[in-house]
Amino acid sequence: MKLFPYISIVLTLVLSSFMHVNGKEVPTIKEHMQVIHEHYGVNFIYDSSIDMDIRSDARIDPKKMSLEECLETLFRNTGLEYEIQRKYVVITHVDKKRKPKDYTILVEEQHDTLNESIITALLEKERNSTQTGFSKIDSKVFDRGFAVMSSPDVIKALQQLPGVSSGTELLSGMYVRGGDGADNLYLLDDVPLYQVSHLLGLFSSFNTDVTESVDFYKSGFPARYGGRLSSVVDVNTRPGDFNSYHGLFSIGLLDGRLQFEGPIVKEKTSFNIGLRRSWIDVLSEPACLIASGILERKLRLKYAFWDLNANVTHRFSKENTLSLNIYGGRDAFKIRQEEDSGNTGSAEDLQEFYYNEMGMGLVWGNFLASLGWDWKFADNHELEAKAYLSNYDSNFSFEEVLKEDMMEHINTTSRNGVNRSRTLDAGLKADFAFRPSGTHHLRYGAAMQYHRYSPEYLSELKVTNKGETLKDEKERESGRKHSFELAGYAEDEMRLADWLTANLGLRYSVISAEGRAYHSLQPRAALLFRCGDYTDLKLSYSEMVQNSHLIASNYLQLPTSFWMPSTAKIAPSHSRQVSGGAYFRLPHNIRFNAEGYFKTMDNILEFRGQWGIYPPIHLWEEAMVNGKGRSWGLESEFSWADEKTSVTAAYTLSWSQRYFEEFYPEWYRDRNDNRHKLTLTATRRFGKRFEMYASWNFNSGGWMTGESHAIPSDQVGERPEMFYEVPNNIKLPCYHRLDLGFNFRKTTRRGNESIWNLSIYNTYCNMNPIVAYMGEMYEFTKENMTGLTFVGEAFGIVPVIPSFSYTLKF
Amino acid sequence: MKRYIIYALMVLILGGCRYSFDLNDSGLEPKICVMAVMAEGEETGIRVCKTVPVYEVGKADAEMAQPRFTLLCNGKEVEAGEAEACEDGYRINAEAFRSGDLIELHVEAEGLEAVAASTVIPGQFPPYSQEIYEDEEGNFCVRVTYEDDPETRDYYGAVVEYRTYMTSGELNPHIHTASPLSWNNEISIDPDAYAPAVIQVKEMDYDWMFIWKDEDGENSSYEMKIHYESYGNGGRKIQDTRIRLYRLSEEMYRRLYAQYDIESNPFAGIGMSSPSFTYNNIKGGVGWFCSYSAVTSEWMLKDKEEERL
Repeated sequence: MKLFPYISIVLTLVLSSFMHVNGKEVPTIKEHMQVIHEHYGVNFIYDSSIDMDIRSDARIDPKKMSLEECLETLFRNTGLEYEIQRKYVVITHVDKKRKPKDYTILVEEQHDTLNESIITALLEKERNSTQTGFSKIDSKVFDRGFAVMSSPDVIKALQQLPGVSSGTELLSGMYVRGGDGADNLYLLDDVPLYQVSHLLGLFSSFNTDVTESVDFYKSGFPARYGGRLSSVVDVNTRPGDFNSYHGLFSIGLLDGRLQFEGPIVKEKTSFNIGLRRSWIDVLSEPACLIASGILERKLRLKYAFWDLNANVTHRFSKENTLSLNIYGGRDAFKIRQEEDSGNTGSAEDLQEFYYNEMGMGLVWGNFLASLGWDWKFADNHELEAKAYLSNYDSNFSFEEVLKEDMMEHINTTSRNGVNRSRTLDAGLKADFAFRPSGTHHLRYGAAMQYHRYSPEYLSELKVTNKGETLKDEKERESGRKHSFELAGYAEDEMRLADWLTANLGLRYSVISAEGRAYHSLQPRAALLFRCGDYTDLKLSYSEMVQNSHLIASNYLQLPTSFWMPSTAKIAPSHSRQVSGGAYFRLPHNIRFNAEGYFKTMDNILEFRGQWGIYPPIHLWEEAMVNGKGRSWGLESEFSWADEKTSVTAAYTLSWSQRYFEEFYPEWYRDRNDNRHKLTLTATRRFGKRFEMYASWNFNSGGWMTGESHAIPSDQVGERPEMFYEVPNNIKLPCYHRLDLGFNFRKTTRRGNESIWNLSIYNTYCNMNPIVAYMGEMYEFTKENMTGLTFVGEAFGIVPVIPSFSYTLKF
Repeated sequence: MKRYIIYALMVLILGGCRYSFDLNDSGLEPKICVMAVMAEGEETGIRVCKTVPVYEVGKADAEMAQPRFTLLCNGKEVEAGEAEACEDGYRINAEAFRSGDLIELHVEAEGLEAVAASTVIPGQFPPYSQEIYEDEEGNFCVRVTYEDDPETRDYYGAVVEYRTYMTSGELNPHIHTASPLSWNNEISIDPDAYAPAVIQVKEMDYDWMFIWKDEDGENSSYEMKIHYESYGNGGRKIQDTRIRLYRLSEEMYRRLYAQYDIESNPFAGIGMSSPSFTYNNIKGGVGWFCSYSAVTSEWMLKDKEEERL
């Protein structure tokens, strides 16, 4: 026992000698993390309760080790575990009971508490945002969440949020807080995207395989955003991995996906490519063959879409990054039918030969290219500059050949034509972020955009035979317009006190078209009151201006509609919105938010109708009617989660109205005035391999306009005189559907993750209406001697749709 | 184009599932209906009756209690007696009003919401000249050139009438209304392919009326392309033509334009179009309360004779 003090002394000496390496102290975990951060550019996220000042003798050499090897070495036997989330490394206790469930790795930069970009607080989803009506969706949500046709979708995920109406089944748009669907600003890597849907809205243009996060604003818009009235959907794709190659491929029932990323020059240059292609056309071919047999005429129907996202990022240094983003997407729909009577040989048959061939094609899509430069020219000052091009075009083509052998002469008629519309944007923008102190985060910048609208290029060729006119070629391009838009903004996120944060900003924009300039100043303000650890209150006011207008002759959301600028006759649209809410974090991981809003919109446009599928290019200004809109409501969201299960309930009570004096002299309800909307979602993990997802969506029916009142007739079977009382007077049936999803995860022998997904859309097959009208039927009763009764008739075309996909991550 | 729309709709209809839904959820109530198209300088009957929600046709009582009404002309009450019961409701017999008169009507009836409506009797059609000619494609055209008041918002209408002569030279006393040249709803190079708003006005017993507002006419002229139908014993001798020109109240124009919308809009009846085809200027009720003034030109002779068919 006497030896013990000596042994202790020796051990202390030995240990202390270990703690000094080459005369230096053994670094702390935090210091190791700093080295990793500097080398790999990743940021660390961990709960501030975790002590990172523990010394660690882990031998880390980032020059020779991969990021995973560094982290594995560093956290081995520390009681901590890590998870790499793109640019971030989330560190949690191995003790899972202490592992918080609801965190986000994507945080507003203004809340970084260390200049060296190490985030020392585990941040909660949206909590630290000053903005009301803000939702952030990271890529993990798409991994687990909703997948129509087994293909995860950004727009479908957003449609589940409170305050967002999806409109008619299949023709799904996004109607945010009383908006009209054309007033959402869709940004793909900061570049505006005009057409965001494939297959009539069943799929969106955003490929979730390359999506890093989606910022969604429906109120409290920061000053850096502008150009649309109702919402901002800012989709960010991620750069490829700078160190290793990986990717995924997925085969689904209707589409296939491939994503691949990796370094071009290790740690310097990377690429990330995502590709999707539908194969509905493969399935439609045999269906057409069967239909052709039944109809005794050749019928061909083809639909396909594809899109490609590509990113190349090069890091010149820690402070300088250059990135090139390209997006291309295309939808093509073709229908063709041939009718050939052949020669009947019948003398009595006057028509001995008849051949008719008709075809129609509709092709539309976007092309985007942008070159971005991120430059951190001081520790607290950085620049994001971007030059971009965004093109949207649609082509409608038709052809018809008719050959008739009428008695003694053959008559041949051939017609074909194409109508193309195109919208082209070219822009430059520069966004600065400046942190003069820990309490201010200033953003300012400017953008200029050139818009070219070519709504119609039309060519028509007509060749007839017996009716003579052999060839009649016409070509016209009309309605082309140019506009130039400038915008500048400044906003400051200010921490005024521990309990009060404010984001104040101002945006100025001017659009010049046809010698007319419209100027606008758009104030933005958002306040966050932190009332203790569990409750936040938020309040915001924002004004938005929309200078481009979607000209559509119907609500079918067809690509035949086109965009036009504000002109001398058509002024920019303008919205104002006040929004406020309370956000509670209750014990047991329960969260509850309630947010109210009131919004007004001026100079919004409606079409006069009557022009069929194509709006009139030469008369489009005359065909538009100017009006107002207003909406108000209350949105609430309740959520609970534990390690395996999460449950969310979102309820919206809202009103949406329109005032178009030319249609009706008073305010009337909007067609998407869905009073109640309820979305229930639940996810459950069963072990590491199996997870399940369920979502039930309900909303009160939309509205259509029909003859609502009648003067009954005494005459049996006689139709009464019918009248319209007010627009949007007939309530459609309520919308509801249940979606289920199952993921079976497995690790292959090579260590890759494979996922079998089974999803069931509209599980109990509720045929939600796509179109409806007033039907008449005769039912003679004692009470109803005239027999005529009116009922609503609805058509639903989307039944239960089971689908599956197999995904392999490699 | 319409054909494709019909195909697309048929695909939807055949491929889908049709079902009925209850209209009662729309929360409609019986309403007072007022229908009046008042002509300047002519006595007019104003029809008042009760309407029921469409889903109560055959079930609800359509009988209306005796309505009480007030008719004002430029703010002063007009003596019009009691509303007379007639086969299709009640009729208020109004005196002849003059151009510029503001006419207001208030109607109440037991069990129904009170209604109100107003219109201003429009002035005469401005001074004009008329011309009949053939265009390059051989279509008959009538052009009216008039002096529009740029300070006011004006609405106009025109009906082209013609009468024919037999090959014997005998005048056929029947007066026809010229219909518009049928226009092509397919994609067309013709910039005027969508142009004219032409409607059948049932209340005025005219088949076809061309309507426009002052913003539509170029240099205060309006051109109507019309289609003459063949009449006579196996042929026709080209006819006399005249024009009835209308100045419409804003309410009348909108009502007619809404009618034009519903007739030419393939998406109107299925909830896929803006509600531009509804017009109702009876506050609290349904119907229309509108007015016009009209002038008729002299007969014009078109010097053209066609071969016997």
